Amino acid sequence: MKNSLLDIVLTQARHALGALRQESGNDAERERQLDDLFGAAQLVGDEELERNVRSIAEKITAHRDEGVLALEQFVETLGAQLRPEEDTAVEEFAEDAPTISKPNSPTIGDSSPTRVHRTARRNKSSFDTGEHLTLLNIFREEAREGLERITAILIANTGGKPDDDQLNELMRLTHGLKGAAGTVDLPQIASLAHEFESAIERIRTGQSQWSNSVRDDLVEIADGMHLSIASASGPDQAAAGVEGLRERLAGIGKAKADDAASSEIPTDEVPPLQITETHKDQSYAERRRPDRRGVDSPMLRVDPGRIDRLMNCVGELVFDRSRIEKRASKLASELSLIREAMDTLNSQRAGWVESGAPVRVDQLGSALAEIEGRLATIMPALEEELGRLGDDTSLLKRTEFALQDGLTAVRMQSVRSLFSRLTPQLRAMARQTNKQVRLVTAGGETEFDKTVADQLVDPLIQLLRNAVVHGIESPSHREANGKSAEGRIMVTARHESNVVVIEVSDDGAGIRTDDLRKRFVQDGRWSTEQARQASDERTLQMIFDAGTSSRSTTDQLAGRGVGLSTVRQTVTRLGGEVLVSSQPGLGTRFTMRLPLTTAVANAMLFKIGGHVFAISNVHVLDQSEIALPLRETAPDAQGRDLPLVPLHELLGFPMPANLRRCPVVLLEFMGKRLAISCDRIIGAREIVIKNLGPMLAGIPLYAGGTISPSGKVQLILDPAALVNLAYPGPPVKLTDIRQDSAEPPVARRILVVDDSKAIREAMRHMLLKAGYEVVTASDGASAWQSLQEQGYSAMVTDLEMPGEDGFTLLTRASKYIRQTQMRVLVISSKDTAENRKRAESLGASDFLAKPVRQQLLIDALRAAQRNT
Amino acid sequence: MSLAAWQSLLPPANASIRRTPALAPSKQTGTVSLAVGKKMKNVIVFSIGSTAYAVELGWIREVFTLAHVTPVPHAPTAIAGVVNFRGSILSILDIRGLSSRLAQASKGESALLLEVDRCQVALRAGTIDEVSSLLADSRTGALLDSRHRPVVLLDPPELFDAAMNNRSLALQAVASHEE
Repeated sequence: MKNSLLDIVLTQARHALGALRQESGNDAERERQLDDLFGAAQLVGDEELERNVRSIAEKITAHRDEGVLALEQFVETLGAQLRPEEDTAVEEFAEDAPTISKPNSPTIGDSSPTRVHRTARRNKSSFDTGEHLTLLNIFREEAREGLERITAILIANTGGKPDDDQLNELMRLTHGLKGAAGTVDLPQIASLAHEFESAIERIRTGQSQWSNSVRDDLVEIADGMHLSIASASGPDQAAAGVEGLRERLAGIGKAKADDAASSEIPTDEVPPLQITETHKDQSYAERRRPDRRGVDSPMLRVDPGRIDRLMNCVGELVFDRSRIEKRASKLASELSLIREAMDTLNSQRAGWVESGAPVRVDQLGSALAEIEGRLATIMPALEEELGRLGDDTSLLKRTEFALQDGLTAVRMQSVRSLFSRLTPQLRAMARQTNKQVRLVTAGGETEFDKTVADQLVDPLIQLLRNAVVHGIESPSHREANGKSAEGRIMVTARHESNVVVIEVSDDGAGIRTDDLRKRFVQDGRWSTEQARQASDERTLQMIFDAGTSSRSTTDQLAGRGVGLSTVRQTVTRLGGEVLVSSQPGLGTRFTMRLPLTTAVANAMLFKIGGHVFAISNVHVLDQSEIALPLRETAPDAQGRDLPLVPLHELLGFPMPANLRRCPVVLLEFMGKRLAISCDRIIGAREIVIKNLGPMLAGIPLYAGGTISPSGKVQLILDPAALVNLAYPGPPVKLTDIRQDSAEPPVARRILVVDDSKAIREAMRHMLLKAGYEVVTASDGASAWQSLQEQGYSAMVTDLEMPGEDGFTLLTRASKYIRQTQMRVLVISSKDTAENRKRAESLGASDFLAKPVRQQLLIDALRAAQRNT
Repeated sequence: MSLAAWQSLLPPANASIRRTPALAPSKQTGTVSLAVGKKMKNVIVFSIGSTAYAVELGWIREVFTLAHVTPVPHAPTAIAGVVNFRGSILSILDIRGLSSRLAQASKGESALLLEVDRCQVALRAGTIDEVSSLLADSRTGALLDSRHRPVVLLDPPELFDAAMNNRSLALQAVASHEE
């Protein structure tokens, strides 16, 4: 618990003591220090401690010297408490979790174990609860805004030191961040924020010199915190991200350093972000614009005006309802008039029947005339009411549309917030690759659905990574080619009729289509003839196909395809498309066209086994009928055979006996065409897409569900899954892992599965150091659960484990691995040819023998990921 | 947001460590007194076939009747379909989710709306017998209902995990009962 909240209290207490001892210091300063100390004590959440601090503060106000003595004692006791704490207190109190022991003795010393205990317990308790997630989301949002503001202030001062107001604002912001982080159980972030605050404080008081390199360090650290917080879902993860930053901060300006010296701050510990390069590009930081808007979490911020519009709609709905109610009561009264007429007719007839006398024509005539007269008065009233009801219905429809529009508007988010997430990522990438890159964004005000925006983060980061790693050349290379040393990546957004267009372009090396042709021929994907005939355009679009990146070459193009297939998959799934254009030597441009919203979609509905299913109409090419019995293919309009996915068989419904010809829907998804069979095609409808919930989220066959007008749930099929069924992929090949490459670690999530805690932790450490985000699992079952919860770029698994072993896990996850293109590394002490072969057949990319060394592991992962 | 406001959002200090029943002994809902660590359990008891099951009240949001049930081909075996519940889609969980294919759930059956970590699922409840406080048998630890019938106490997080991982649920429940 070295970095626990108590540390903050201790440091703060020391600060306060320093301020008090200073004869020259002013009262306001002392007060502030005491306030901060009290705030820090509150963070710990221990009443005992709070009481102690309060009494010390009171003493200081009353008798300063006495108070200072008490504070000195406090610092001493707390300091002594904190050091041995690691070995004893935590162990001791971790055991008796159910009872919270309250110390009776009022001394500071005794309360420490309670505090330790409580902090530990809180960490545990907050891991799974929804409440904590909500808190975290709120915190992320707030922290992001705070950090953006901090960087904005830092960068605003291109010339010199921030003025006092700005420094005070920086202090306030970091202080707020510290408090919030402590509250949401991220003590490491809290303590980092505390260090940050101290660094600013040192600058404010003149203990440290301000310099551009100090400023850049601070910006970098703020970025690092930003990234750590964005990925933190619990104290452990946050901790992993911030340790290096902490060391770094402690060093800032401490040695009264001048510019040159402070730019050489040693970094003995390499943080996951790989912020090791200190000679970074200052112009980048200077040009960065402050950007405070936007949302970086599942929370939604809405303009109150939009809510007001919705409220107006609700008001309209009330009117609509009361109008319709009025119509209903009018119609009811007309109905009663008709009933009266009926009754009269009935009693008349009954009278005639009773009397037994023959009815005269004139009697009959007058009776009928009376009824006719009555109906004649009712009819126009009825017609009028019906007409009004029609009007009311159309009014209701209008309100409904307004409501739908209003709700869509509520979900709309400006692209700016999406862009703001990219900046820290880009800076980290640029640092990793030693390239100078400037990000220019335009069209930040463009709005589209938040659910679409959220899913675009990963594709955009992937495209940026591609641009930085493969597009932008090294500064020297650029200058040699007559370009500026600094590369430029431009991300723009705009509306085009009903779609949002997002472009990522760079002014880098571009892609030479001839190189691609060669590669495809080498890969055996194309024959020489095909390569010769393929147009440049067609060749270029091939880079979105899985496996385009090369096996072993290390030239500029190697890895071009990494993740691009995932980009296309995400974009296509959202109902959009992505295209690439490139000019060798001048740059590359990726263009994504996306629908404004995914909540409402046009879908093709069809029936199988009495149940209605839907599929996004965007992917539907055509419909037709084919002869029975079904074959493996179905012809399209041009007579070409497309692979047929027999849905009856897939979904387990019998083929209707009376079906003469089978209706088929022809689809195109990610450039691949196929046909699916059904009982009856219903047609296209607007549907509202809903989530199927976590229990069914793991089934790749479904993209969601919708609710029919009569309230039944209808399932929406995922075209990606159908394509995978129609075009089963080739088996993954074991690859040559020994190769050196300048490619930076792809900072993505890895799942480590091993029954030994030591090995898990060791691998975790290795991977964290290399910039990966790591989640661990102790056996196959829990690994499978982790896979259901979130996606991973790779999984590293042991074979022999108690409970569910590695092979069982791979067997169970084989479909998942295929679907998600997750890379799998097997690490085992049983390095036999048989095991290797079996692992390979189950989708493993590589097999490493235990004990595994860091470099080997990282190399293998990189190699596996390059071969996506 | 001020520090005090942050702190007011924190879980109460006496919340139990692992995932707690949503309505468990939190201060806001003083009416539900679920004694954690003691033997008394406030539960809903229901029977499926000849077996009685119980779920602690804290996990239950509602008892409702299933509307039209849509089957979900390729769903985990414990999922007996999906149902529209006030506009959102709920999975229907059946504790008999054994290796053989389940009987399809159908309209009109009783179900319990369970919530674990914000994830809501409808649990098929067969016949609902009673809502009561049950005492565990001091000797065997088994839970008995008012007719002294042994009751299998279901642990919703465990059920959810098992359902998602396609483990057999009924066996789980029996095993925990035999402990």
